[in-house]
Amino acid sequence: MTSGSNRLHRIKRAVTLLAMSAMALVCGVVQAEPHPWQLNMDPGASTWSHVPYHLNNTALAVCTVIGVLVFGAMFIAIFRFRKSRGVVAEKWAHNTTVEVVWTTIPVLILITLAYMATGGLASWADTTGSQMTVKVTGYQWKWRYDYVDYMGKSIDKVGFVSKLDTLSDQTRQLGSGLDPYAVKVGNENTYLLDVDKPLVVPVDTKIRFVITSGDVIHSWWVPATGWKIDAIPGIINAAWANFTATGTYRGQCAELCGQDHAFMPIVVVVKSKADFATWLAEQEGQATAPQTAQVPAPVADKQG
Amino acid sequence: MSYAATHDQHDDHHGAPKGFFRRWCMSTNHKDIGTLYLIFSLTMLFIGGSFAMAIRAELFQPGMQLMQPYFFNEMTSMHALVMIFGAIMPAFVGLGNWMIPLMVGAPDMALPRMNNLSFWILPFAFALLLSTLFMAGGAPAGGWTMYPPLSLQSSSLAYAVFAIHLMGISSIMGAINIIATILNMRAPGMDLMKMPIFVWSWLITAFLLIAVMPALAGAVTMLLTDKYFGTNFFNPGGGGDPVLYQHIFWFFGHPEVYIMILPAFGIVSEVVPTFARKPIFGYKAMVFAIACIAFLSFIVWAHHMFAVGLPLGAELFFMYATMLISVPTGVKVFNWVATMWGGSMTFETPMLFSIAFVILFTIGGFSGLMMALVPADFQYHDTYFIVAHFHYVLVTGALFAILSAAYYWLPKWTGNMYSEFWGKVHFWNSVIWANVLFFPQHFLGLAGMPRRIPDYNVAFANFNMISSIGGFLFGASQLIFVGVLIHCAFFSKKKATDRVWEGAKGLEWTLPSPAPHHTFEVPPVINDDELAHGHVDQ
Amino acid sequence: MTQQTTGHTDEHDPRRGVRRTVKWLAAAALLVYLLTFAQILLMK
Repeated sequence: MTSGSNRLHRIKRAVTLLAMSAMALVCGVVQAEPHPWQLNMDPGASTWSHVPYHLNNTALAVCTVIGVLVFGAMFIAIFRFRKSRGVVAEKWAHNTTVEVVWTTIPVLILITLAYMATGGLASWADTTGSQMTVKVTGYQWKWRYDYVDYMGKSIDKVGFVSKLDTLSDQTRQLGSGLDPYAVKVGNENTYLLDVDKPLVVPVDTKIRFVITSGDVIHSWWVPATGWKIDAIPGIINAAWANFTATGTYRGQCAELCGQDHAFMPIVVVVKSKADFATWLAEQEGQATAPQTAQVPAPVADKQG
Repeated sequence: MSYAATHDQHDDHHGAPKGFFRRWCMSTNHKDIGTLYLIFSLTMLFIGGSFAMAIRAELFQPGMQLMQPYFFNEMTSMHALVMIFGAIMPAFVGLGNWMIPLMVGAPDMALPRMNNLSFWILPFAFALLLSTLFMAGGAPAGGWTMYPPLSLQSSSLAYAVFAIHLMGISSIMGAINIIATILNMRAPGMDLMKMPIFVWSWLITAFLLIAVMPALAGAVTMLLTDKYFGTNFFNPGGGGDPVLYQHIFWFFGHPEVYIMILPAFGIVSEVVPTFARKPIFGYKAMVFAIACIAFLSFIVWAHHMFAVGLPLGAELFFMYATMLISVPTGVKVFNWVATMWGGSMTFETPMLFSIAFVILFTIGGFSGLMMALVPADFQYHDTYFIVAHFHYVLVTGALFAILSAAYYWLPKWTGNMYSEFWGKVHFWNSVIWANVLFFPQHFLGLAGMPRRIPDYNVAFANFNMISSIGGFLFGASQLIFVGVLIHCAFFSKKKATDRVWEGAKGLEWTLPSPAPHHTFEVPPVINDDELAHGHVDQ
Repeated sequence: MTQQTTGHTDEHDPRRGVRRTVKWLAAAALLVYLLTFAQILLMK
């Protein structure tokens, strides 16, 4: 009896989840975290992140239509032109008209897609007019964030290392006996997606990220921004994001960087501008206060 | 057939040499060397497959159950190296070795002794590479792409580099041999534009190999000197640039992708007309499309590097060039469908694998087109979406084409028919489980799961478990193939006819089954009606 | 063995054709190898 109702409950939950995924797929509900049975990309939470989302959906739709036509034709051929139905093979092996047609039509489709992608890419590449700069440095296997400037004012000595939270780290050890499903913040499972000290940024602010690495190549990726970019030693890459909603956005390192590549997540907490100003003042106070002077200053990461 | 009677002055050449060592280790016979390549490739398929099983077992559930993360990285790196350089490429070389001389009416490859050398290098190269698994520092764990600086941290870098040098030398010699054979050894009347498309695809592939394998050799040599001899090619501390390695690597790597798919196109272009009993649609367009794809493959490499921070102009150029590839590729797919249209089709195992190839390779092509769009690729890059994409083109693409070819020519090689029933069991298991294995990986990538990670958030658990189940069953299905091969070669009672397939056309089908040890010692007189593409001028 | 290296398409001496092809291709491969280094050194 209990097991039966349990099963019923589980099926109900699966159906709800599926319905949610379907809704997210169709209506583009803002969904910041990966969720079970997720089928499609999230639209993200920045002013630019809809670009990859819509391109993805458009390209997928185009491919689906072409697929239905081509595979449809193929299945019709498979059913109509079977030897078992007594069909005799025809002799023709060439038709210039159709060949020209099926070379031209894809070109036209591609031009449309390329046009859409070009506009989106140009807006991504424009990092001018940013109101804030954060320097991101990848290390094996953690991230360092240094606040460079905010609203035209340079920020001194606000910087910290951000690494995997303790509970995830204990759980992920081989044979730890701990349950990944038990790693939760509130209702949300944060296994391998939580850090000890998240990056805090303000909402509705064009933030320029300058990204580099202190050892090997990493890649800084928060899906809610719509992009990832490699953190490469000796090279400083730049990208920008302007978050449209407050909240917590999670991501991971996306370039193989050694044994703990899977264990250096990224968490961005987006606060309202007022809350962020308070937080920033707090951090600056801490940094200058003598008792917390051991917070490492952003100097040692200039390697290369 | 009167081949035995034509050359009695060379008595010693008619049978295969008697001793095992003389027959296989000292062979200069293209058929025996082809067989060696194919057996080697099958062995590597299972070794690389066992690494894949380890990967899927660790990913079966969230949490680390079976191995340390570093070992997981060794598995992903070795899986790729073994499958690419050990399974797929040697399989195509083996098929080329066996079939090219038969298809163009040549007595053997142009350089039979070099042929022996190019094969026998391979077991040593892989012994070197695989031995690292048993060493204290472990196997290479920086991915098959071996990006510095990470790859320079590995203690087995030198082994990997020397193994790649050996594989590269083997590939280059094999490619030279194939080009020399095709350009110089064709029977009179076998004009270039009458050659089977498989031969065309190999001719173009061989040029790609010669053009890019040395670039890889150069890149890994620089890794070696950076690690052991104090050079700074890729070391930013010494004024080098790690991104330059990626440029060279992918200048090799993208044509390499086509090295693994163009011969597959060739195979499918042989199999589909045979079982549709209708000539290939648009022969010239098919050849031209292969040449186009080969040319374009040289100018798209940076689409593997959209996230390294290229200048806007470069991103646009590589995006447009990449998108352009879908035009000739589309032409090929349309032409295969048009070949079936109006045909008189039967569905023996080779045809089933080729049909699955056309559909599933095209799905891989679709995700490839999506990835060409740079803004979307900012999301897809280095996620499971990419993993799904390249397994669709390499497993359900290249590997399915190889399986199709194996079933297609097996009766010609062994003289026996394989078991059609077990062939079909193998096919349906392969096609179903490959999709269960790889299709959910699209969803994982879109949901945000990075590739090359041994552990993941519980949100990714469902599809990973499905994918793993598909993986185990797909792996197990390939054992059926081994059974079919052994049965066909040693136990099958059903003798193959010379033509084998009702609709088969081309010189190889004019020979007896099994093909005698020496064939076409006297150039065949070619009748255009015998050729699959004897009349292409219309 | 003589039969095996005897090609059919070149009436005069097929072995010369094979040798010429091999020389060109081997030279091309070597050239690519060297160009890889040259290119890196120039880009640095």
